[in-house]
Amino acid sequence: MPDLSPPPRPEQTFFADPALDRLMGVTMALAAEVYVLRSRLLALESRMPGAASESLVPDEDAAAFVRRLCEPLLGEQQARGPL
Amino acid sequence: MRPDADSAAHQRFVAAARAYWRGPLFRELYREAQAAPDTAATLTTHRYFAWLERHLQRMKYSGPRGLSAIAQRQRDDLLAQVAGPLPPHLLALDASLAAPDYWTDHDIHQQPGGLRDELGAFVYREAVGGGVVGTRGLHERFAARVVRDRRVKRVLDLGCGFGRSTVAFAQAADQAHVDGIDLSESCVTLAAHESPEALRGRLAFRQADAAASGMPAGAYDLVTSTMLLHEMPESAVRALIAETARVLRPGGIVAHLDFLPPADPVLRLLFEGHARRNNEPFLLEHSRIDLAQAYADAGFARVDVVAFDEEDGALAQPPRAWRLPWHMIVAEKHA
Repeated sequence: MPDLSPPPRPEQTFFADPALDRLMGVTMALAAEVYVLRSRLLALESRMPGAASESLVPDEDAAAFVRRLCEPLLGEQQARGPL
Repeated sequence: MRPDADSAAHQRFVAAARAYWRGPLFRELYREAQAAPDTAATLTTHRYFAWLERHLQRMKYSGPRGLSAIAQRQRDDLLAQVAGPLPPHLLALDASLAAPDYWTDHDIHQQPGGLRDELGAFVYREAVGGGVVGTRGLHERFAARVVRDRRVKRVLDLGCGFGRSTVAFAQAADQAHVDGIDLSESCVTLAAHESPEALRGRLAFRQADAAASGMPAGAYDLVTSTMLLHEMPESAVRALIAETARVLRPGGIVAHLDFLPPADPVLRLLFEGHARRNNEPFLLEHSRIDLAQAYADAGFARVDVVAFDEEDGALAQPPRAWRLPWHMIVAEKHA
């Protein structure tokens, strides 16, 4: 049977070199995987003997994770140096 | 929907990334762009802003932990939620309804299958639960403003989706009967099944096209829509205006809540980019219509267009976060 499904449409690009668009996709996919693994790990650790009684708030933990991940996108020096 | 733990974590990551995108990253872009608004599109920060807008939406809907896949894994349970009996007046489906091409050619909002899929309404409801268009209380705020100081007994809600706007109008106009229509079988079905018991006697949902509704002529005091016009091409919006004039009684009101381009050049750049990035191919078309002329031609006495603050402080300058440029478009038919 011939495949009659419509061909996929090429993804939009936003950088001068489309290689960057695709690499951003890989980076964000990896970041999402790391966050999923982090969530699993935190869930396991919370069940261990002696675990802290105060658990993380998931939404706050996600926001802090994303801040650490995305901060370089702002392009700001963290310690004052030459421009 | 009840996602598994990994999918819930994935969605939490995407939601947090979207909050970063529309907050800190937007504010940095807006600050940088003030120096040269005309070339803001070439800023590196703009490129990242654009990429994240496009692809965080993709990550929300698509892939094994996207909302579409989550819904598919719960298919039987979700469909069981809308399989029970309803009062006969509450839901009318039309299997013969010919869906317009503009509705079938694109997956609006990057939702795979759009609202044409039988699970589409469940996915959409989950997607707007929080985020740019999911501001809590938006529908209630709009409905309260529209019906304030007006006696409204019969309302038609065009493109009612899964019924949030329809219910909001039934609550705001506490004696009114409200009909909600939408092209999507999934949406009107979910709307009917999830409508509050206490309001069901004053609600009805029907699968129909807002541009040719088939509803009775001159029957409504108020015709409304929320986030509908920008999803239709210009020809369909013009047909909708004519249809609105047909179903309204003399002196009746039409009130749309939708998006119009901002005057601020940087916000306008981002709004116009949003059209393509969010799969909204008609977002800019209705803003090209001379609304005053179009409504005058259709028999309306006046049309008012005012910015709408979806939450307190939303219109603050400089903007605190990227937001869609909500506007109320209100017209009154000749008495």
